[in-house]
Order: sequence, then C-alpha cells, then structure tokens
Amino acid sequence: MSETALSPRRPAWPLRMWNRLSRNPIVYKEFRSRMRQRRALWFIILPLLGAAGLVLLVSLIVLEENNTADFESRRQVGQAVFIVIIGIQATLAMLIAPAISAGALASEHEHQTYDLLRVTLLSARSLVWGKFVASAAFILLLMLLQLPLLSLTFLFGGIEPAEILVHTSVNLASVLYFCSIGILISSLNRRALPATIGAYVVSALLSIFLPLLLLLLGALFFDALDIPSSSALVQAFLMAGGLFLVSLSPPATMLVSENFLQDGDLWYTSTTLNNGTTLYAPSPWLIFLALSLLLTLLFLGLTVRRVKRKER
Amino acid sequence: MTAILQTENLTKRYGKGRKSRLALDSLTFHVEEGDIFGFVGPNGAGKTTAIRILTTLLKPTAGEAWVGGHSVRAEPKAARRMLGYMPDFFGVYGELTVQEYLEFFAGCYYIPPRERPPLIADLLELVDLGHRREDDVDSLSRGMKQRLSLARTLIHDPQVLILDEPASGLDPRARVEIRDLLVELARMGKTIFFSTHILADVAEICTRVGIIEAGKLIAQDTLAALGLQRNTYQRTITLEVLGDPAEAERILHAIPVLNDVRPSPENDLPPGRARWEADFRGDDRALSALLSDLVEAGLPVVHFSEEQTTLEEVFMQLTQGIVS
Repeated sequence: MSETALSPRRPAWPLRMWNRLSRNPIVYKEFRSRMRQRRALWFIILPLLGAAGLVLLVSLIVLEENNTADFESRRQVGQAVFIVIIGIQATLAMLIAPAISAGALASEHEHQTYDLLRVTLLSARSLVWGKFVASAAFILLLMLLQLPLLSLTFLFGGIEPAEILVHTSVNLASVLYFCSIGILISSLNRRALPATIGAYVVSALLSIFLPLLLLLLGALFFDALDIPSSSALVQAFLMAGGLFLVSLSPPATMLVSENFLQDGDLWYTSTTLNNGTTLYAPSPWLIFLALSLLLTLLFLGLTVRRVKRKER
Repeated sequence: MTAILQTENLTKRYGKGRKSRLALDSLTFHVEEGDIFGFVGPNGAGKTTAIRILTTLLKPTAGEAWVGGHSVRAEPKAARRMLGYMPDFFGVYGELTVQEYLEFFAGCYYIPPRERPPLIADLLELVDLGHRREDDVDSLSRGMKQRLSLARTLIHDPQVLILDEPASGLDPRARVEIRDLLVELARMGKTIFFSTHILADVAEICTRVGIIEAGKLIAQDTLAALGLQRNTYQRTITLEVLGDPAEAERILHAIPVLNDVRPSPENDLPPGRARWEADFRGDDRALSALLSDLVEAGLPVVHFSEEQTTLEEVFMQLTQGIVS
C-alpha cells in the first residue's frame, strides 16, 4: 500500500477551522478573563432583567388595552414580546459589540502584554481571529440568554418562523459586523477608551450617517440632472440603490424586510417598471447578510495587516 | 564557540526628515553560546531598541540581526522559536492565576495540552513559585512577578534569553534571587543577553559585556579583558617613596606618561615616607616600564600599586553621557 493511501484524509474546511479555533489560546484566555470580571455579571444580568421587565410591561399593556385574553390579544402580546427581544438583541449587537471588541487589542497595549504575545509563535491572524471570536461569542452568549424569553412568542403566537429567521440572522450578522469594526479600531489605538469611542463613531457613520448621506446625495443627483423619475432605468436604479442603502443599516434592514414579509416576500421582492418589465430584487436582509459578512472579512483582513505591520 | 546572537551594522532611525532620530548607529556585536552577556549603557543609548529588533518586534532601518543563525527580518518565526523575551515591564493578566498564565503562554507556543502540566510544574519549581500556582497573578509581589515572567520566557525551552532590565525596580533580595536564577539558567546551557543599569550585577555574573552609547557599541569584551584594556582607559597609580617629598614630586612631574600627579589624601604615613597618586594611560607592559623608569630616575619607591577600576568607573570613562 502506498504512503498516500495510509495518510489520514484532510478534514473538511469547517472542521479545520473549528480545530484551529479550538486550539487558539486567545479564545480561552479572553473568555476566562471576561467571565471573571465583575462587569461581566452586569452584562449578563442587566439585559436579561431589562428584557424580562419590558416583556412583562408590554404584555400587561396589551392585555389591559384589549381588556381580554382572547386569541387576537395573545397574538398581539406575542408580537410585542418579539419586538422587545429582537430590539434588545439589536441593541446588544449595535451598542455592546463595538464596546467589547474595541478593547480587544488596545487593552493588550494597556496591560503591556501586546509585545509578549507578538514574540510568541502566535500569528497575527490567530491573534486577531481569537480576539474576534471571543468578543462575538460573548455577545452571542448574551443573545442566547434571551432565548427563553423569545420562546414566549411561540406560546402566545402571532410570529411567523420566517420573521424569526430574518430578524435573528440580521442580529447575528450585526454582531459579527460590529465586532469586526471594533477589532479594526482597536488595532489602531493603544488605549481602550479612544478605541471604544472610535468604534461607536465608525459604527454610527457606517450604519446611520452613510446611508442617510447617500440618500441625500442620490436625491440631489437626480434633482440636478433633472432625470424624470418615470424612466424605467431610473426606477430600476432607485430601487437597487434604495435597497443597498437600506441594507447598510441593520435597523432599516429589519424594518423594510418586515414590510416585505407582510407582503409575503421572504427571499425576494418584485416590482413592475413603467415599461412593463418585472424587476426582481433580493430582500434587504439577504443583501445585509452578504454585505456585512463581506465587510466583516474585509475589516478582519485589514486588522491582521495592521497587526503585522506593527512589527515594522 | 559559535555566535548565537549577532548583529551587523544594525541601524534604526525613528521618523523621517529633519525630525528623525538615530537610535542605533551601525551596531555590530555577537554573543556566543553559553554567554551571560551584559548590555550596558545610559538611558536613551539604544538598548531597548536593539532588544526590540532582536526579538522581531521592530524592523531595523538597515543592517541585520540573527538569533541562532535565523535572520530576524527574513525568518522571524524561526528566530522567535529560539528566544525567550522578558521586557522591562511585567505584562499582567490580572484575572488569571499563575498556572493559567503559564498555560496561556504555553498555548501561544503550541505546546500540546498534555505536556503543559509537568512543564509548568517544573518551571514553577525552578523559579520557586510552586506554592503560588493557584494565586492570582495580580496578588504576587514585584519580585515574584519577575520570576514568573522569567518562567514564561522559558516555557518553550528557548536557547537564548533576552532580558530587558530584569532587575530594575526590585529590592536587593529580589535582585539577588533573579541574579542567582540567571546563573542557574546559564549553568543549564541557556545563553543570556540582558540589558541593565546595575553594573554590580554585570560585574557579578556576566561573562562578557557590551557597552553602548548613543546607539554605538563602544566596547565589547570579557570582563577581564575590559579591565585589562587599560591602554584606552585611565588608571590611577598609587606610590610611596622615601626621602624628600619635594624631590620626589619633581621626579614624578618629569615622567611624561604620568598625569595629574598629586599627594594622596590618605597621608597617615611614618616620617620620611610620602604617598602620591597619578593618572596613567597604558597597558600592563607600559605600567611595568613606568616602575623601571621611576627606579632608574633615582626615586626610592617602597610601594607601587594600581587602584582597582570598577565597572562603574570603566563605564563612566567610556561613556560621555551622550544620548542618541
């Protein structure tokens, strides 16, 4: 038998990636350190208490308004609970993820441990991915803790599985996206506080101000060129551009996707242009997933480059 | 003997244009296997810059450095495998215990998990911290942290230890402990390269010394050789003569190789004797010739000695306090 035949088969890439991550000492160290900090307890308890309190409050309000506990009221309670939980998860993704990840590399400088790590055999990629996975996993853990409350929506009804799929996937992708922004900003700062502020500013710029600015510029552009909006080409352009802008912002993505869902469009939507052509476009949540994952990889790549360049 | 650590024309310039600053100026030195090499120099001389280049943390502007034959530029990973680095600060992960701290760094060197517990136990034993393994790193004294840091540098069994000011900020007892540890490690076959301001430590344990000032290496040799290379350093001669002190003074002033001839401040001598001090530049042969000259000149010499030059004095003579 040849040697090639005896050699073990190379595992598939997800398994290889998992093996690499499970061997990454940064992930263990980060989790161990984070869970031992006193504020970790507050990070866990406060969102949970807040969610439970809000769920109770909206349930009482809905039931009080309807003055009855019939099927429709229960549906409304289910919908209200869902909005609260998804809202809290979105807050965790947009507000806590940048803060947690922005300290990842900057805190190594603050604790004077950065050089110690860089002289080990740990590659820049392992360092950055370890920090990223640890930060994202902590936020995902906080989200996971909301699951029992989210399961109440199944008890009350009023929420379609498609809605859970759309909003949960947008929130999960947001966590990765905002953590990657935080990590990139962290690699540019030697102190955690400016890094955190920077991460918030960049996150807000990318997901709020940039879409608004593009929207404004787009409106001015069409106005300046005096293009009749009835043109099919302009219609198609406006639709594509609008969807793209919406997909830059997680809250906007969720709102528009929800609207599409109300019309029964989970994966894509279609519209008939003035010239009679039917234009198909993916739902914003799908665009957001693709865009955010792409940007996440880009930001992580830039961070690895930055960490490598610090040796120079 | 082979050089395990070597630099050639190592140059580092920070910044560009007019505001640039030359931190290292064609630094060339080598450290041989088994050496305890003391890297001595005033603040701002370029010690830390040189160390950061040797540990692959900084790229030189020009020149090259090798660790165990591996270029720090071309093969940084191979160089890192060969070296253990202890900076002049202690990197703290306050939430980890002593055991976890070492386990984490063992992970960073990809030491298999099953090999870690006995390795860590041995290292903690070596640095005498076995009894503190379950304690938080933050709860250790500075001296203990420094010993833990030394254990960390040894986790992957490197051949060379590069230590930046390992004894700075330690109390005398902790300093002696670290010094003893370094000697023990050298006995175990490690090559030790350390920078320091504490010349007593150098004099105590180093086999070779390099003196750096303004980014340039101004001396590199064994301690004994540095002490013997007196032709470049000023030596102080003490001599006692019999007879008329004025006549003795006249003869001494007439000897061209003697400078600054002066009566010794300690003049508790019996009547008829006088003690003089003078500065002299030259090697041992010149010193021997000087004694012959004095006798030939008719000076009744009854005592002729040289004051032992300490490393501090050699350092002060060699360096001029120039900061790069």
